[in-house]
Amino acid sequence: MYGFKTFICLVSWPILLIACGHADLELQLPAHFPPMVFPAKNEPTPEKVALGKALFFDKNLSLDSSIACTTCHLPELAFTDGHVVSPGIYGRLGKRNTPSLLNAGYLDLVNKDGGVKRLDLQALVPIEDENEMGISILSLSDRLSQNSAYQKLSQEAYGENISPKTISHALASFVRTLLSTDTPYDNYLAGDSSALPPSAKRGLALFESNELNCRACHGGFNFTENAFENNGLHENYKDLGRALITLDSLDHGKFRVPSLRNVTITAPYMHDGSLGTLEQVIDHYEQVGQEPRRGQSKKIKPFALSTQQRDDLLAFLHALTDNIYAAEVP
Amino acid sequence: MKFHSLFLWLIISVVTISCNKFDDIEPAGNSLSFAFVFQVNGEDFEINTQYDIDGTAVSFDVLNYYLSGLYIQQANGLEINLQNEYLLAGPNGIVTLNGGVDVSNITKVKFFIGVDSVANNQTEVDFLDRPSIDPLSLQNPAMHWNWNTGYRFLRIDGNVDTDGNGTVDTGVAYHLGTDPFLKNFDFNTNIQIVEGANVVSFVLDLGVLFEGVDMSTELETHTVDNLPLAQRLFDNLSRAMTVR
Repeated sequence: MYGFKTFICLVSWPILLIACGHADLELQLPAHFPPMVFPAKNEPTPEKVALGKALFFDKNLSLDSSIACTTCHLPELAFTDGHVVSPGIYGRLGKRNTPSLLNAGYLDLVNKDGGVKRLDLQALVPIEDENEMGISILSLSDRLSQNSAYQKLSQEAYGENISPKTISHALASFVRTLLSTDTPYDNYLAGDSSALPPSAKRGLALFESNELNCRACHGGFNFTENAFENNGLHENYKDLGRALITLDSLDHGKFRVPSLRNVTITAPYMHDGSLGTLEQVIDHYEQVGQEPRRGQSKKIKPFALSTQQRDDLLAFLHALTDNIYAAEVP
Repeated sequence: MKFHSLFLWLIISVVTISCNKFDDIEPAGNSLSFAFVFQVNGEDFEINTQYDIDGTAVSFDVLNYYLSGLYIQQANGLEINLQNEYLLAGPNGIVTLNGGVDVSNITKVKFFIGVDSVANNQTEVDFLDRPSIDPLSLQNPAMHWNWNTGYRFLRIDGNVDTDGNGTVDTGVAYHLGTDPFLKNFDFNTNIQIVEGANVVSFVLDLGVLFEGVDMSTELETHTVDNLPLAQRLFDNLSRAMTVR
């Protein structure tokens, strides 16, 4: 396994540390990436990232000290875990498939239903969820305040003792440094025409074609517009998705469109992890494109792929894998 | 004369004395106090005590709600306007305005149960930023929702007897919130304040709140996951809440 090495590479090479001390932290992004907007109250610094990193890998963040953030967000799986839904404390199962954290710093609404309005508040969700880490943020803060190392890190980062705010803000600062920017596709955009093999180039053309209309949802540098769509996965949804937040029946079954970066290594797919392979995902869109389900997004168009086209599309999706993972991609 | 809310914020003090019964409410001298009283069908209420509500044995261990936008008008024209203040009501709380607030004859009381959309959406200040003395800061038991930005406006947790054996051993959770469930109360009333006992009581009757709810089977709502039950409780709230 190369998990820790992977982690070190992911969180170190994209980051340019301007200086020691409380200097701001600048992310090194490709030209086709927009700048990441940081909250004025929580501009990332190396100290904040250091605190967040320590918290991210600490199982003491869960009620029974069995689950760390990284338990479900494994660096070697692009910060997912391969489970349909992740087991939390006492083996309790979560409700949704674990999303990748890469490029999460670009989200304006967080979680699959967009219920959390800022990344700085997101850490409370898994920490307090009874099926995940199961501890109140106040109790966690009390627990960590007994740890002198955390008090030191918090003082260095925020000039104050560890608290619910420093815990949540530091974790967000750390997550903002987790980037997917170095894929064959990115290299191709940067001018390296050999970065994509011929099949992936044909797949890219298919992906961007009006016939498949993939870009309508998976647009932009991050292959998502961060919109909420019903992709026709179910006729009736047990999990109402975005409607749980908006209380609008038109939002039943809508979930955030995920990025396709590293999609090859982030199976299973969909909000409930119900599709195990990319082939099944393509089959799904081919099917519901021709026979739409109730409430399904109109952006999903009918299409039919030949075997060659299917292989080309898969080759392109493989090319969205960060190079750090490339050796492991089958 | 109008009280500025900022001034009042400075002089509000929370006194945690037991006030589950009217008899327990002690006047706080030359000041105005707001007491939060809970009852069950008009009877005195105690936390963690077993009651019968529509044939179901039930006990409650968490009873909290936010009261905001409080406005009081008196017969003499004096107004008390706590428009931007939030009171966290619980069975062990009484909020007192110190500073010689003189109230004699109240003719109108307006308030919300809940938190306005600006505060609820954490758009300017979120619950992590607020000082611990602020009722909108993180509370234990939690009044914030983490998966959905905002607050539980009303949180009731307890246990019920689901099998009729007389033992309350199944957890229940009734949590109302989200912007559409901000509940406006507007009482045109005539409350004569007895001199030396400047207490305005907000009374929530749990028997009325759960009318039409089968607590042995309808065990929980977090509002969005069981909107029909949340809506019934929300509707009942209008009759369950009185001011005395």
